[in-house]
Formats: sequence, structure tokens, C-alpha cells
Amino acid sequence: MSLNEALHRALLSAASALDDEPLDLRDKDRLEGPAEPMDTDDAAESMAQQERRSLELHAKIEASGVLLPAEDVVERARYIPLRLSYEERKSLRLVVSAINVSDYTSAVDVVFRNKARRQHVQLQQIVAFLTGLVASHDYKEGQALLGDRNFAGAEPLLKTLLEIARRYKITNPEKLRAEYGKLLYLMQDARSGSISPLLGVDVHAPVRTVYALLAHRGGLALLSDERIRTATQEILPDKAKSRTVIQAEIRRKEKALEGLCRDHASSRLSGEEIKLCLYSICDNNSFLNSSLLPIQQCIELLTTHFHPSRVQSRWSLSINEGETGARLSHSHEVQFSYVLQSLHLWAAVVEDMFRLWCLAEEDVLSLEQPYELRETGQGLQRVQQSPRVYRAMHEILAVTKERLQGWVGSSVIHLGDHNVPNALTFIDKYTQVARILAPFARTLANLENICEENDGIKKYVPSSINVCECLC
Amino acid sequence: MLGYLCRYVGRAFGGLEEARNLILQDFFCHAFDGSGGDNFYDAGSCIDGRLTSAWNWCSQLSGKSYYGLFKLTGFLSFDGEFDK
Repeated sequence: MSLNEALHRALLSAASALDDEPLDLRDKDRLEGPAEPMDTDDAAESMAQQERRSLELHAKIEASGVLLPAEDVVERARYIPLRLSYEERKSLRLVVSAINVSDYTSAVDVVFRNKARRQHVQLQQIVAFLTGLVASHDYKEGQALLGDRNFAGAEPLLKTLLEIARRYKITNPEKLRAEYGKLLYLMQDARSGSISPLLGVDVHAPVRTVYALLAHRGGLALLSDERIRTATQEILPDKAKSRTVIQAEIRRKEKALEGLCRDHASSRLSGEEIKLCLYSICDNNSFLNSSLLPIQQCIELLTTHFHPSRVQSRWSLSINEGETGARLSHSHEVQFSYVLQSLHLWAAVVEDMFRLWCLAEEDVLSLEQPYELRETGQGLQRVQQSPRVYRAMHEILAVTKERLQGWVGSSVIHLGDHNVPNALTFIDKYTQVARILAPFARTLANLENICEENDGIKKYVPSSINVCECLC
Repeated sequence: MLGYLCRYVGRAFGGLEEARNLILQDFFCHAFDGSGGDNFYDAGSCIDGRLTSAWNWCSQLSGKSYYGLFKLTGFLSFDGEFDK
């Protein structure tokens, strides 16, 4: 058994030992109701199956020399949501507007005299929200709903509408920042054991992914075609490349795309649908390009301007606990490694962002892990165990450690405690990485630009000048 | 206009190299120093704490000596767009 596999197995058993209660999967299918044929793969796949698949995948990846699930196109396609169509965008706007108007979390995540009162408000809010959605979509149906409160007929519509909003969020993690949380908590409550029987409908549908569509139509061979990398790469405006080179790349990409559509279209899978899948994969690559770039730039800044072991006394990276707000004590060498490892970890997480979002959703909406409303020091939060995200993070951490041959500092992943209440708060933090690093990297690049034109700078660089003569 | 910016960097910081090293050193030291937690026990080097201290650094940026440089290069905020 390779080191990687051994690590992986050890982590899985450690992670499952940390779960508070054994997962009871027997009732999962019954509670979710009959799934549509297309979604059978996702809906019925139990965690045990996921585990098995993960182990198989690791063996496969080991053989091909690649380490993370995110690096395999077929595996990644399981979590790449389909691009929204024009019609679906209209539905998206509807749902987003409805959520904007709703005050769900402010009304419900507060202290109540007793549980029954909270349930009452929850039900009121959820019914109002769902009725509003149906009424805006179809006036007559909404009118009927207001009368009899029977959502059964509107269930497919509601499932579709909410699935579209969630799909949009996964592909654009930086959008819908306030709205998505409200929506997810609303759905979490709508599915809970106390509200769901009263509501009479299940508003959850699995997010439509590239893999799900292809599997349903018998087109999975598309993902193993070697042209897929060319057909889904993002052509970036690179200053180093001439216009003709870029034009040639675009033509090559289009050719690969057309070739794939031609060869894999069938009676069940149209060329348009293949294009949709390929564009969705390309969107994923585009997201990765924009989010990973700032991290890579920071890593470059670190490795170019500082050396892991040679220290220039003025520019040492050492920190001491208690000085200038530091909580850790590291020598220059240790701090260098610490920063480098943290940046690599963030890069690995961002690379796997779509999968982690899907898992976070599954954890939050899970019927097996109920949440508890607790005062965490940051207000009332929904504290909930999240085994899927926990496991995935441990995997990513293990692979990062293996690649970097070492780890400085703690490996503790807080999840389900007062620091990080649930999977949503956890994953939301990592969408912030680009927000922190991109402006930083951009500023430093701009700084160079504003100085480089002028060699008058040379007149002003005597080393005796003290740093920080501030202009206030 | 550009000439004046160069002169400012030179006078206030001792040159582009110095300014850059100052910013980088401060970032790599204090955006990764375990600070930013609610209390002594919650701060640190855990996986989550690394992000917390980075955010903590961002929130303190406006008090730094080189904040002027950030503003001059078009920086607005960590949440928003750049000026240009």
C-alpha cells in the first residue's frame, strides 16, 4: 500500500471515529421520496459508496501520478454544475428577488420562549416564501395556493426554482453572498423533521451537474476523450503571446469542440447538450484561473523576495508572540515555511471549491445531522456536524502535507464548534481568499509600474534614509 | 505626475525595493501570525486561524505606514473594485 493510500485510510477511520453518531442511511431514500431517473446517481449514493469510490479514485490517481480528486476531469465533472440557460436566468432573478425581500434568518434565528413558537414562525415564513414564488411564477396557481395551502402540485416547480439558484451560487461563489445563506437555512428548516410533515413537500433537488447529464444520456465517454482538455481550456489574453498565436489557440479549441460534438452526439444526447457540458467545464476552468492566480502570485512574491534559510537581518520574517499583535513565535525559516504551506493549502482548497460547495450543501441540508441553535460568542449560530466537508478537508490537507514534505503549526480543522458552526460558514471563508490576495498582489504590481518609467528614482535611494517618513 | 510618485516612494521609503520589501515583510509576518481570534485560545495556527489572521491584517491596513502607497496605486478596499 502506498504512503498516500495508507494516509488516506488512516484519515478516513479517524474522521469516522470523530463523528458524533453513526449515520443511519436506511431512511434516507424513504424520506427523500422517489427520485427522478436522471438523479438516481446522486440521490441514492450513500456515504459508504462515496467512500469506496474515493478509495478507488485514489488508487487510479496514484497510478496516473496525479494526487487530488480535483485534478481528474471525470471526477471533477461530478461537481461541475451546468451553465444556466436563458430561461433559467429568469427563474434565478425571481428566486433572488424573493430571498432579498425575505427576512428569514433575522426572524427565525433568535431566542424564542419555546420551540413551538419558533416552529410557528418558521412555518409562517417558509409558507409565505414558497407561496410568493409560485404566485410570481403563475398567478392563478398562486391564488389557488393561498386558498388551500396545498403545495403538492407546485413541488416540481419549487424544486426547479431553488435548484437553479443553488446551481448559480456554486458556479459563482462570490455572488449572492447574503441571499444564499438565507435560502440554504430556509431549505434546511423546510426539510427538518418538525416542519417537513406540515409542509407536505420536499423542496430539495440535487444540483444538475455535467456528470449527471452525461450519465443519464449515456455520454460519459465524452469525459475520457483526450480532446477535452483543449476544448475546455480558457484562452487568456497573455501579453507574452502574439495575436496570431492566440488566434491559432482559439481555432484549435473550436476544432476540438466541434470534433467532440460530432463524435459523441447520439439519439439521446444532442450536440447542443454536449456544447453545454463543455462550456460548463470551461466556466470551471475560468473560475480556477481567476481564483488561483492571486494565490500563485503571492507564492511567487514570497519565493522571489525571501529565501527559506538565508536571512537578511532587515528583512527577516521572524515573529514573536506578544510583539506587534503576533500570537505565534516563529523563526524566519519556520515562518517562511508556514506562509508557503498556508498558501498552498488555500490553493488546493480553491481548486476543489465546486466539490466542497456541493458537499457543504449536502451537509447543511442533510437529514441525518440536525443543527442546534447556540450562542457562540458571535450571536446565535446554527451549529451542525458536517462529516462530508470534514473528510474532504482532511484529504486535501493530507495531500498538501505530502506534497510539501512537512507541516508547520496546527492541523486542527474546526467544524461544528463555536469557531466554525457549520459547513456553510466554513466554505464561505475560502471564497474570501481571492478577495484578500488579489488586491494585495495587484497593488504590488501597480507599485512597480508607477516607479518603473522613471529612473529619477535612483537619485532618491541612499541607504541611509530611514524607512517610514510618513506623509500624513 | 508619475515622476512625483517615484519621488514620494523614494523620500518616504527609500526606494521601490525598500517599499516593496517593507510591505511584503509586514504581510508575510503579520497576515500569518495567528492573530485575530476572539480570545487567546481561539487564535493560532489551526487551519481556520490562518485565514483569520489574514483578515485581521486587512482590517488593520488603514493604520499602516504604507497605506498611502496602497491608495496611490488605486486600491479601494478588499471588497471592491480598483480605481482604474
